[in-house]
Amino acid sequence: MQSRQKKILVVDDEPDILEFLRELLELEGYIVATSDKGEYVQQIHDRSFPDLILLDVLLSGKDGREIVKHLKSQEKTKHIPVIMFSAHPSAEPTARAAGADDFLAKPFEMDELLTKIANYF
Amino acid sequence: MATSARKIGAHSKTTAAFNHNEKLFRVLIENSSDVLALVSKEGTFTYVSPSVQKILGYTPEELLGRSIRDLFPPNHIAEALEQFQAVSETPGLTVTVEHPYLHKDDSMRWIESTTTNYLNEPSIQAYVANFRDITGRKHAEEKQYVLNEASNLLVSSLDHQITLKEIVELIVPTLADYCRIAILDDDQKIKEISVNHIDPEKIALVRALYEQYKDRESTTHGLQKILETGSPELISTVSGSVLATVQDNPELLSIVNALALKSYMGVPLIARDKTIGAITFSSVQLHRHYTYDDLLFAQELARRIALALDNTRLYQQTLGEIREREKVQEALNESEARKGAVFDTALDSIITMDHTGKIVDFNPAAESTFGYARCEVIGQDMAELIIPPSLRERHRSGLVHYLTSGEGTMMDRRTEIVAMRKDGSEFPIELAITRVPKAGNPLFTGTIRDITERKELERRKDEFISMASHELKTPVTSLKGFTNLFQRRLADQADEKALHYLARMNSQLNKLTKLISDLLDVSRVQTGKLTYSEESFDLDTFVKEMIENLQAATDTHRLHLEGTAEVMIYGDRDRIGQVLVNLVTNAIKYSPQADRVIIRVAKDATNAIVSVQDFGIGIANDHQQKIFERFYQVTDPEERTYPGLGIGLYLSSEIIKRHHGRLWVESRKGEGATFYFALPHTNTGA
Repeated sequence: MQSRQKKILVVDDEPDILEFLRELLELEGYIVATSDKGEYVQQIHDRSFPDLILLDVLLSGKDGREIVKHLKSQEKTKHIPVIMFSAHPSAEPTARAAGADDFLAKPFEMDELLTKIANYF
Repeated sequence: MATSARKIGAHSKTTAAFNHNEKLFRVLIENSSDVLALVSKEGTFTYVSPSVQKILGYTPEELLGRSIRDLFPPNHIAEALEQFQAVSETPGLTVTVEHPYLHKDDSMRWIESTTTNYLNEPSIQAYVANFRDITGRKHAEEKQYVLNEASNLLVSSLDHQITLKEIVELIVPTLADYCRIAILDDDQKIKEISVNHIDPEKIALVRALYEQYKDRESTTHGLQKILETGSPELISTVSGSVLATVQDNPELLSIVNALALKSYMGVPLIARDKTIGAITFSSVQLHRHYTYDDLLFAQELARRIALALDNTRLYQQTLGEIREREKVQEALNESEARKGAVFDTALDSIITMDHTGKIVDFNPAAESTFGYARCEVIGQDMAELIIPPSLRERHRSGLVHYLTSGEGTMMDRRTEIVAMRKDGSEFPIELAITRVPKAGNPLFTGTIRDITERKELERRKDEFISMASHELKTPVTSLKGFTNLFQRRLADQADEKALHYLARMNSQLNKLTKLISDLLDVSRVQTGKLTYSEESFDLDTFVKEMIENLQAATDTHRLHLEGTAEVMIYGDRDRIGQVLVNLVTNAIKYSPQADRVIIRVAKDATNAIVSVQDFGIGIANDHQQKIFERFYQVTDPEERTYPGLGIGLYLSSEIIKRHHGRLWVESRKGEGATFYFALPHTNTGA
């Protein structure tokens, strides 16, 4: 057992994806917060920081790469691992360049995601 | 009486003197080669000197009392009398004229007559005439005239058919009663014959004569003989022995008799030592017998005709060549005009440049595409005008490289590049450069198509497919997510059947994902936008991992991995993995009856080679190239059709090409297939 439950923040503008990820990750024992708005991420440092963020590249109204750039530029948040995912596999280089620690192409196998998450804990 | 006697004495003395004088004159007159005659007022001879017999054949006695009119050829009487008119009206007048007279044998003699009117002289009361035979001189003059006229005809016309006809008309009747000129062709066959006869009705007979002669073997006389031997022939008098040679041919004989040939000569026409024809002269008049002198004349005439014919031939030949050249020129002009029309109306810009880079031609489409008027750009440096500054150096060095080495990367192929308008704006073009085939310094023609619109369409299509692919993958992501979730939930309840269904769903979702990805990739390969990341990786490890993953996904086939390459590959791992997945899934798909696939890894000096062998249906020879084409699928009505989009091998081939490698297949229908791909490795020494 882990010393304490890890908190994962999932940001995607597709409610279905948020739903199954929440369920899956909770089944795996994580504490999950979800948001369909990129703006939410900007406010997280006012609350308790997540241990990892799953971030979609293309959010409605906001580019996930801008968000990760912001997070990685802030002293308080730059240590938080960010795994980005996208249905555009070609977005990987730009996502990594913006500061993403890892990248996952949609659709993905749950096991693949869990392996990547596990790398950080 | 003494006076009378003296008178008588004087008289007899005078008489004696007179007698002496008369004798003297008579001797003079009678021995003169000229003829002296006295003609009465009525035109009858009252005296003719004996030399008349030498000239006209008559004795003086035969002429006395006869009219001078009888001596004129019938068709000359009127003219002759007219000439005497003046002298008959003017006493004392002397007139000299030249005139033809009839010989006793009916032949013609030219006479120069000097006539004085002494009708009013009481002691004479007659015309005193002196006749001199000038036939020889006249004939010489006629020959000279014919020669001159013939020469004029020959030089004045280059159409020898007309000329020869005029020459035979000139010769008859002056020098012959009938005449032929025959011309040989290159095969030594008579190609034409010009004929004339004093009697137009007999022209046909003369033609018929040759027709009879031409096929006779061992002809002894005549035109064919001259053509064969190239030697002149002269038969002054056509005798019975000559005619005897044609006795065996009654038809010919009848023609010869009808023509009543009396004398004949013929000479060959020789040009450049070659007999090119012949000319014959024939006389039907008793008195006209051709002589050696006439033959010399005929040879001179023949020499001139031959020379003229040769000139005509050369002229015709030259004319033919000129016409041929004109025809070629015409065809060339026409082709030029056609090309010009294409040049002017082409939708694409066509720009011609010389070897120094100067513009030599600029079509209307180029004017509207680039914004320059033709007159502004001719002679200007092309690069300065229409190539963006960033590309100019490449253009110039490329041109220099081509001129020195003959190698041009831009030549004879379509290249997409950026061009510049007059206003400095840049736009995408498709360019094809061809060297204009010509001697000397090269010219280059560039055909330029403005592909701004096409590029925009490509961009939109790409965007659309990218978006469509994203939109398709989003629900698939959810479907997979919930499937995974479902699997985890059911795992606790140990419902094997439900788990099996979910695994099938997941597998189908994976196929769907791959199809969506492939579609996106095809679109990107087409527009050259397929992205590649490059890294160095170990091939053996990579293949081993890939095969393990693929084995996990199949339970119908065993995947055997054989051999190692021990090389590093520099390239896009995922893309190369995509190729291997394609080949292995194809191998499984197309060998439903088999239970194994062999994957081999090997290398040679420069390449690593990976092969995938199956034991399936194989590929017929005529499909083996096409299977690498986009959307190509082997559809064999005898066999079940295999599903798929026909893009896997196309994509694989494009990916391998991008890595400077090669993808190929070895197969026979029904005997399985082995696909190979070779990639350059980085272990040059290993």
